[in-house]
Amino acid sequence: MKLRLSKKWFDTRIQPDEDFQVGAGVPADARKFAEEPLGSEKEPTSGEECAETLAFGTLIQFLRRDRRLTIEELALAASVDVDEIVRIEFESGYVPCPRSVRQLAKFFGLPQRTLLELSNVTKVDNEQLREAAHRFAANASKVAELSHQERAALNEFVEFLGTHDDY
Amino acid sequence: MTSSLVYVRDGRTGQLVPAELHDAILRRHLDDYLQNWKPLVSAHGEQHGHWDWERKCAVCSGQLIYQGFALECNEQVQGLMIVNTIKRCRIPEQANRHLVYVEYLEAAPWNRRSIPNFKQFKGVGTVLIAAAIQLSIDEGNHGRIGLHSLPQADAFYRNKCGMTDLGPDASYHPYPLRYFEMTEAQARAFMNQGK
Repeated sequence: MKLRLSKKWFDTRIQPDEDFQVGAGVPADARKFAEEPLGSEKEPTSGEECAETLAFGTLIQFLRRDRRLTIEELALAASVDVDEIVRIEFESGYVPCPRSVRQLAKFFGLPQRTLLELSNVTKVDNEQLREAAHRFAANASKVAELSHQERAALNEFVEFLGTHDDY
Repeated sequence: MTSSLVYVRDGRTGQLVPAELHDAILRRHLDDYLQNWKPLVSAHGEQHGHWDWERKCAVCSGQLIYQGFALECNEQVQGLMIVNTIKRCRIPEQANRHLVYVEYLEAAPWNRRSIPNFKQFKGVGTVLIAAAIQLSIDEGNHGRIGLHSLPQADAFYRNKCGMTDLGPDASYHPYPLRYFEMTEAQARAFMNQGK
């Protein structure tokens, strides 16, 4: 990208006596204003937490692909921001906002509480879930089409999530 | 990666000085941030004092939806910005049309009023907003941009940039920053003033 503006433009636009403050984007200390934690500005997650969020991102991607939806289509259908889904699927360690997880759980018909744990929005206290998430993350690879192996891993994991909503 | 000749105003002499706008955040910019910028911000406990640009760049690296910008002057980085190119407009007259969304924008601490005895260069925000508008034009979005403003910067986007203030955004989790959007006409006015 090339910005082609004359020196006169800058002379006009930037006044000697102007005294504006600039800045955009969620403040890093936003958590102190929040009731719930924000993902993108959290401290880096531990290796175990990364495995869980990786499993969550992969799960969402597999479910989306299984329904032959684009990211934009899923975003529209689940009322979640496109960028949020991009981050969930592709950004290892990203912890999404709770509302997005609840919307995705509702859309895919999965238990909200389990998905909130899997996405690290809430603390994972369930060893079985942790192990299942790690196994799923380890067996899944993000390729264009779901292979039989991936589909089997997805089905097994979804079945597990469905049976662990009431602990 | 390309760079453009731009100008900022020296806060002490009042003179325009040449600067370079890069349409990428390079390793040397991050090194400068880590060595000079971050320690100063941390020391003053600024509102966005703990933004980790190195981490942000690592997250955005390789993702085509993001683009970084760095403003350099006197061989020192003066401002950084990351934009997202797949967001959509909210103002009714341009609702759902694509825009360039400014994810993060920050001026180096020595260019801020809030840090005593500084304000070395003025116009860092103006240059970066001009870059976002130009990218929007290049992407076929006619200059439409949007952003969530830090509270101390609301006046800049409202009065200096002429953007539309859509008020505090309750959906912007978890801190309801004000959302500002620039229409095609506002972008034209911004870019044409002084030409």
